[in-house]
Amino acid sequence: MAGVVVLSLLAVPLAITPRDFDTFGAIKEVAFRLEAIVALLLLTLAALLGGTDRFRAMLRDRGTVMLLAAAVIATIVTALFSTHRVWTLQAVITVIASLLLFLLAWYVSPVLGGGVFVTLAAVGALESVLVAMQATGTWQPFVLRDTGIVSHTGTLGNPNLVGTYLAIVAITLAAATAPSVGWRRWVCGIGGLIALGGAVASGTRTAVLAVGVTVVAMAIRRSAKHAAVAAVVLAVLFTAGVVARIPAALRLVDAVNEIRAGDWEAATSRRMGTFFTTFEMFRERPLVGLGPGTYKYHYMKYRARLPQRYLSVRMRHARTNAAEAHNEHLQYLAETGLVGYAVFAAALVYLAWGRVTGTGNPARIAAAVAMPLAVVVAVLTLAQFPLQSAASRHLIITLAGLLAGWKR
Amino acid sequence: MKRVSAIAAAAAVVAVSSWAIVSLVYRPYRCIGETTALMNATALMNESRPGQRVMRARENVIQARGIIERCPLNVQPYALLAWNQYVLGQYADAIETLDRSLEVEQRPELYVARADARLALGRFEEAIADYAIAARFDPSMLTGRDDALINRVNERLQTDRAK
Repeated sequence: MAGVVVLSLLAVPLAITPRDFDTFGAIKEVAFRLEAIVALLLLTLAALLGGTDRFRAMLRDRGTVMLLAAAVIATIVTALFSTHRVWTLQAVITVIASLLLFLLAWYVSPVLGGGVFVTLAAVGALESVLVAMQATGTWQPFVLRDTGIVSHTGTLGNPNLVGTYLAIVAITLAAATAPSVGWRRWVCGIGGLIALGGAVASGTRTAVLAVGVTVVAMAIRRSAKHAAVAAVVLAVLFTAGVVARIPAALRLVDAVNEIRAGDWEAATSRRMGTFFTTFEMFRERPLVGLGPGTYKYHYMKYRARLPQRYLSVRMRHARTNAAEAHNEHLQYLAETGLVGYAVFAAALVYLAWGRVTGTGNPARIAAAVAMPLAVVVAVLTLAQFPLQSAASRHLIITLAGLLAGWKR
Repeated sequence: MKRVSAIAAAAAVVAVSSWAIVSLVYRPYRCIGETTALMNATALMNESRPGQRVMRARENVIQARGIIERCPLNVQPYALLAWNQYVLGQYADAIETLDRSLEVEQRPELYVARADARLALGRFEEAIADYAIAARFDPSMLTGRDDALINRVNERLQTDRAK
């Protein structure tokens, strides 16, 4: 069972179908579902053949159990009030699959120590090297229909997805470095740096910003002195990035200038319209939303009739239908209303501040990784969509499952 | 008794998993490949000489209908089917296909395609209404259309705004 979790950390992000029109996305969703089905089989077999002791131990973690129950109830309630049952059914399948993957990771966590980070370091390194080669024009293994910035695909599909994924990997490995022992500490440290390099190479400014904010949060947790040192180091690195004309650093400078000029549309990569549209969806059904998975179906209609008051912002026209709001907070509010968003926010808060009761090395790792993971996800979800993409969703769920087991 | 219920539970989970593998994993996986094949076949049809074009479009229509049946939530096969029907002059069928596609996903290019088919059938006002929906979302959707049509769509947009 532990092997399935480790293997999936490699298989889901690296799964591609190079000859098909959708090279990256659809196959990862398929791999995500396949692992969930395998998880269902394995958990059932474990309950039937291995006894129920482990499940009983899991049930004693009341906080996690209550959170999972809340997620199930919120999904049922919002699905019942959905405005498009067919798409909601697909979203419900994703929720069930996510739940199974979380349970599998949680179940195997006692036998799967910090060694799992070696796998994560390997995936992060592969992805980072590939995106760096694509960014520098050294090697492009895929035949892509578009050129330019879209060429930084890694094995995930576009720069935003690569940057988001690698930011999570970088922070997780960095946080796991101190409590890890022996050669694993080196793997985590070096792997974290390589993943950070990959996130920078992707040119995704949200990813770079999320890493910066999380590093400061980690330092603040230790002491004010650490926080000051971290802020100075980040400022020096950022300045060096600007001097070296690294795209991610330059794009952050551009964003600051655009905000100062009042051009929020440019600063948010033309997403103001999407944000306003998503907010309008939420305003219409604030309690239960339009229904899980219905965002893509409703987007065009709401965007086309966006009230005139928003046009005072220098907003450009949409060029294509949007499947993601590029802000998970808003998208959860739009699709699942306050009911669903409350569970999402509670999950982030519980992950960050959940009590660690264990005393062994896994508990130390859980204590070190949980808060940074929650912070990096919370920041990334302000301008990206890590939970809409199978690879980063899989990574977050697996890590959350492992941490739930390690903390006790 | 305990063993029997355990075996029954295991059998039920195996059955559910088998169903899930076929419908939630294998079918979506097949849809990716089949849609790619249809896209390639449609591109080939577009580049063909007039005689071959009709023959290939007919083959594509049959292929697309099968894919839609297996992958009803994938919007590309609908758009490709509608285009092949349009090429064959089956405008009413193309409109019906696009009606179905718009139940799956709202996209400006689908409205433009339906407007084109409606225009071909002489249903001018309905066509203008569809162009206007697409243009309200993105005015560049009408790029390349003749000026008279664009003016008519703009008039329609102004009337809608006034309402």
